[in-house]
Amino acid sequence: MKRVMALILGVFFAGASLSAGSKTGSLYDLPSVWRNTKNEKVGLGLAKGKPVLIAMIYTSCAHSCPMTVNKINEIKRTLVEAKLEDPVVILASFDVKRDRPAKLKKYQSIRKLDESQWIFLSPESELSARELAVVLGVNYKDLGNGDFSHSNSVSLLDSQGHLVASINSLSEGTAIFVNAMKAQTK
Amino acid sequence: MIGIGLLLTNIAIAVGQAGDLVQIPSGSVEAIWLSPVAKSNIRKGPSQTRKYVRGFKAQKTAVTKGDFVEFLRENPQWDKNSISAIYADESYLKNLSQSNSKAPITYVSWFAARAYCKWKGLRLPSVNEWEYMAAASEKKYDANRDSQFLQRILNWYGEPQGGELKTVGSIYKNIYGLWDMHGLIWEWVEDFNSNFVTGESREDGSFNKDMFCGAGSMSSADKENYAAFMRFAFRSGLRGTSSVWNLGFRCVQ
Repeated sequence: MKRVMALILGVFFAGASLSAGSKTGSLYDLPSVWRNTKNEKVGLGLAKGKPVLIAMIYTSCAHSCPMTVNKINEIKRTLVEAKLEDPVVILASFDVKRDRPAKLKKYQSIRKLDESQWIFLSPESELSARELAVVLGVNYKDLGNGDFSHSNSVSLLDSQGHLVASINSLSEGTAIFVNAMKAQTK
Repeated sequence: MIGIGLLLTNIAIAVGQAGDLVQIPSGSVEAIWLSPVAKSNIRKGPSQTRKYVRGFKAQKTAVTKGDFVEFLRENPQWDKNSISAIYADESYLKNLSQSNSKAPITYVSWFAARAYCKWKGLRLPSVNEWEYMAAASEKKYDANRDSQFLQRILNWYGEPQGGELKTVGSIYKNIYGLWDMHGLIWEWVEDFNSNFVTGESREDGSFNKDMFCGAGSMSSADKENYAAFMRFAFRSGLRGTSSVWNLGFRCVQ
């Protein structure tokens, strides 16, 4: 049994170190289809050319999703204060059924999030949502009653869509994003 | 004339694809990987963790090396040299050149497994579907409370690891006609990232609300089905790009 647990833990830690050392591809390689708040079909690369902060949410979420928006605002403020580029934000929902474009558009206006800076995306299908979540390292489960169980992650993409930094809890510091952004401009 | 030829070809292809699938009837499986957690906002008793699974078709065996080589011939963008780094790590298809085309394909990432299933007009099973298929022994549909069956699985997990994998169809056939659900390889599922390892099962003893919104996690307290806990722990350590020597897959419809 110890042997097998060692194998399982070995896989886990091997996975962690490999991701630190290996080259990352671009999220914009993903073929997944999404819809913007105008109900137009789009790919993830719609903000290509600029750095992007990306996170996954669902609008029926009472607890952590408003906190995710706050966290992103905090990161943006920190970057601007450090005289670095203010990234565009992509918020992609994993709630295929409920978060259709009209609902996301409503959420955006209620939260007063500027359309030129904040992009809300509805997944075209479960496949799109699951694929993006796997790439971003976001765990989620549809609990079937309108609620989702999910982890909280915010990631920074460079102008070509490569994942260069991320936090996996909303209480983590924002320094990692400043450092990653500075490394980009070198 | 050409039209009839195409029609006959399509029928032949459809029959060929359907040939390796078995029908799995609708039923339910106890979601043993969902112990209710004290701080959760889901109030479920043990009886409510039984999950309904709608009937579906499943491949009798895991996808083989030979199957996957055929996929690569027609889809070279998925071969080791061409694949995007977003889809696989450096171990991708590490042992492909080794012989035995009837061994299960392994060192294959979640993205590649998904792409193969899609190419066949199929998909990966969900966790619920996979556990439902895996709950069956040779004689029982649900052997998850059969201590002998569970012990066999633990024995397989405890066997010395390494060397060449056995061929598909060599371990055991369950009551659905599915081969080697245990004892050969671990298998990918579509929603492998839908569960959490937290609380008692990790070093930090507290349920961190900043990390997770929602409920449901498995702890090692579920000693009755330790094998399921191990699968659960294994899945939660995976990434979409993970390529592991004994992790492969089968597809469903």
